[in-house]
Amino acid sequence: MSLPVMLRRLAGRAAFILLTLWFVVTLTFILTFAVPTDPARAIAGPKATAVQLEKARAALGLDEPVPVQYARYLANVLRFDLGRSHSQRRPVAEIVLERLPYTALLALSAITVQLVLGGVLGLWSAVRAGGLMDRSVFLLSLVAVSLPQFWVGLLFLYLFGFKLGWLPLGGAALPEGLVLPALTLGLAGAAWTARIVRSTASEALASNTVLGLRGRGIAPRRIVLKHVVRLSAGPVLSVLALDFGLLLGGAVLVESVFGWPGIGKTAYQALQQNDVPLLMGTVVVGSIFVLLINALLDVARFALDPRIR
Amino acid sequence: MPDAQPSRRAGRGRLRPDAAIGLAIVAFFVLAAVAPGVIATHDPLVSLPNGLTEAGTPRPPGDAGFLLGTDVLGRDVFSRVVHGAQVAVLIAVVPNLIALAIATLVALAAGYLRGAVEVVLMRLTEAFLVLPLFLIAMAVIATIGPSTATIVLTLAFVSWSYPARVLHGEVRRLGNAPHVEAARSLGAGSLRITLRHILPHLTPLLVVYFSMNAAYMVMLEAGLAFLGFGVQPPAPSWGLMLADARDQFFRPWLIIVPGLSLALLCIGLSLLGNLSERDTPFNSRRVLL
Amino acid sequence: MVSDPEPPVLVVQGLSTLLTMDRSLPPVPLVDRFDLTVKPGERWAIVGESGSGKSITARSIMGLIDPPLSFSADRIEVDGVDLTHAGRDAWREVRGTRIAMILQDPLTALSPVFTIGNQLVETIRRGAVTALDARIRALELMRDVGLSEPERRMAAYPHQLSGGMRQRVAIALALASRPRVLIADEPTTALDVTVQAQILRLLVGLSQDLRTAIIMITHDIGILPGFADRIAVMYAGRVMEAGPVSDVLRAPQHPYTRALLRARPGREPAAPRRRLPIIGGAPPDLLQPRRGCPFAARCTLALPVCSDVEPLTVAVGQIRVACHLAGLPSEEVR
Repeated sequence: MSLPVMLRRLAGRAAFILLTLWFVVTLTFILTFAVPTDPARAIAGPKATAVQLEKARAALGLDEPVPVQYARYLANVLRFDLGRSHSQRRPVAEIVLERLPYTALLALSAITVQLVLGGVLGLWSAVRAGGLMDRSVFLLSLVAVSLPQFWVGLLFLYLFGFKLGWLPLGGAALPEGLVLPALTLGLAGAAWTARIVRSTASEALASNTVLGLRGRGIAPRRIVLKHVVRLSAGPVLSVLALDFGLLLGGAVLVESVFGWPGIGKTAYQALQQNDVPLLMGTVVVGSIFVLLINALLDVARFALDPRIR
Repeated sequence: MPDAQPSRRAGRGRLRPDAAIGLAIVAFFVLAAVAPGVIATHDPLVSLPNGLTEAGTPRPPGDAGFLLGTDVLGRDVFSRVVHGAQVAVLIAVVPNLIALAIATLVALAAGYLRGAVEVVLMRLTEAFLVLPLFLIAMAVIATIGPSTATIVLTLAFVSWSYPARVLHGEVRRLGNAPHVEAARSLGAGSLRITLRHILPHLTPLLVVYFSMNAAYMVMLEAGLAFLGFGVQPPAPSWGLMLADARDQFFRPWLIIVPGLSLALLCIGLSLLGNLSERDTPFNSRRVLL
Repeated sequence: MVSDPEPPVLVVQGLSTLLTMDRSLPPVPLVDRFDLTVKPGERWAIVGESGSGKSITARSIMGLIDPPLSFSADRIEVDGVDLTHAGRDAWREVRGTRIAMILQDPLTALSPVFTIGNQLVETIRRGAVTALDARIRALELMRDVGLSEPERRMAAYPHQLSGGMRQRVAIALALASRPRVLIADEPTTALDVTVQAQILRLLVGLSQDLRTAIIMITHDIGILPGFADRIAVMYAGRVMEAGPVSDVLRAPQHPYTRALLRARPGREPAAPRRRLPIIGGAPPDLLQPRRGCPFAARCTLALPVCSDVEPLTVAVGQIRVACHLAGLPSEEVR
């Protein structure tokens, strides 16, 4: 691919990310200011007098027309000012950025579990298609994607934390605190990955490319580990990118089950304390995170496939 | 190469075992939802007089005639789980239908209007595919308030994008299909083509996505309920039962039973949704490297 | 040394390839008792319509048959190695070294995600070859198959090359370990006509210079003169007629061969607007149990015996033909 084409593609990608972000920010604005709940009331507290309430309204700029409020909201987000959390009494951006690394670490570990476990099982299934392993993996993955993650998390906690006492019942201790959340979050992903790898690898195995390699007497191990893996990598990355938002959704639940202090748990706490700015902050930052990871995986996919490079 | 399709030949007219299992599971839960009284043994909402032990703790499964034990308020877990099917089936059907309606509309509009509309609609679909929708759903329900209507609409709002993308691909494909070409050459307008010659052909895909999306809806709702946002008490819902039981490690049946119901229903739905899968270990052949 | 006649590089006797759809159904023969003996430097053409089993025959000779297909033979010998009862490892040992294959579509046959150089070196390094030697050999191979600027091409990906260049790369890959037999499955079908001629010329040159025997699978009887010295005509998995190209083209013995020759666009300008004759009917459904000659239903000369008794293969001059009418004067049967 020539440089201008590549630049155009990059520009298109960037435009998509910005537009999507604008969409999310607008959604949070509507939810924050255009719904029946009064944000001033939430800040001033239920026992506030009319004067206090008015002051809180003015402080939030709620006495101004909606378009002005909207413009200021957008401008604030651009400066990464996401408002103040009234439950923690400090800037939302500060809290969320503090918690993001935990979520990133959890997501990365889960993806590792997903790719390693799913990749190995998927390849194995494809190479021995129709065999006992293939059938077992197929049925297991069908079950695994149908299990609610938070429930799996609870079962893991019960079994490994409570019954066996091998791992902590929650918290952010490293590395033992990460094991169960990462496994819980990675399991369903691994099942999906196994199925995708199986289908792309089966396709690759039946392809002319592999027929050519076999015709040249290349060793089966090499065909699978070099060629089939490389031919299947692109589709797997695409799905990984697409499902990263889902993974983050799972992370919210898993974090709240295990008390892992990421943005998911923050969102849950914000929810319980009716801290709307903090909740919206996690939505905005979570979206930015997802979009950035997506862009990154997109680049990786490009690097892997010379045809679209 | 001969175009050998042994599976299709062998499988025609016979119910696949996975389909039979899926159908049986789903049928059981639908029955439980429609007529819970037939299956349930107790009133699910009432603290039963002998529902707790003398020490005031829940009864384990089998104790005092409670098949699956009782909860901390002395209610019968089995009956609650049976009644919980109502919420689950409602959630599996209603938001699902709304989401598929949106998806079909988006796919047809994009395919019919083409041009800028198509680009915008597809970018929007892509945005909905990529974004962390669970967080967004939490935010929506938290601010608007967790009524059943809000939850149903929110679930539809966050789940239309995947079927929309697939349906759009199918609409584009059908746009070049011979029967559509033929209709076009006979002078049929594009609206007529869209409604008469494309929409009906989406039915098989819609059926597949209905059952696949149903499992997703049920899990999503359970997740929201687990965070306190389900269909509100006292209606028993599996997600809420799990939320109540989250630290009940001394009474594991309170965790296992509702979760297992959730998992079973989702497995049943996945088995049905899986029927369209052409390449399964049960019909594929090995390439001998 | 006067040690004539030269031993054959490929002997195939009674090769059958079966399709097993279901354990409860009898297997369907897609290739039925195929025989072929190839001498060094010979150029064979296996001709047939699509579905005649010619590609499956090629893959069977390479041992590249996957379920639901299976193959067996009374005898398969490649370059002196007996593979009649060989396992997969023995077949793999032979593939690429003694017998190699070129596929129809060079774009999909090459891996899209690795460079030409990577794939060449990988193939060459099957033997105990150092990386440097492999690279030198790769460049040499590329020159052999007429690829200009081999150094630069080494770093190219298949999609960056033209169809003809890709097919040259595929040929280079096949020749990497100097096989004695090269099977080319419709090597020119996906190419432009001018490129077709170049590739055919390249193959002829290789068979002459390296004494590599070539078996070309084709449906295009028109490219045979000047390329092949021997031809086998397949129909419904059976060899109908085989022999020297010149003899078969001049005096085809089987009604099917004659129909095939009539159906090809003529080069003679005698009848410019003549309608091309077609062969009536369709190839038989292989799934039906067969009796008699598979061509009987479409044959204009069929006798009652043809649909009852399978004809034996008989020799007519240099030609071997499976037809009840074989040997009758052609004027009489025509």
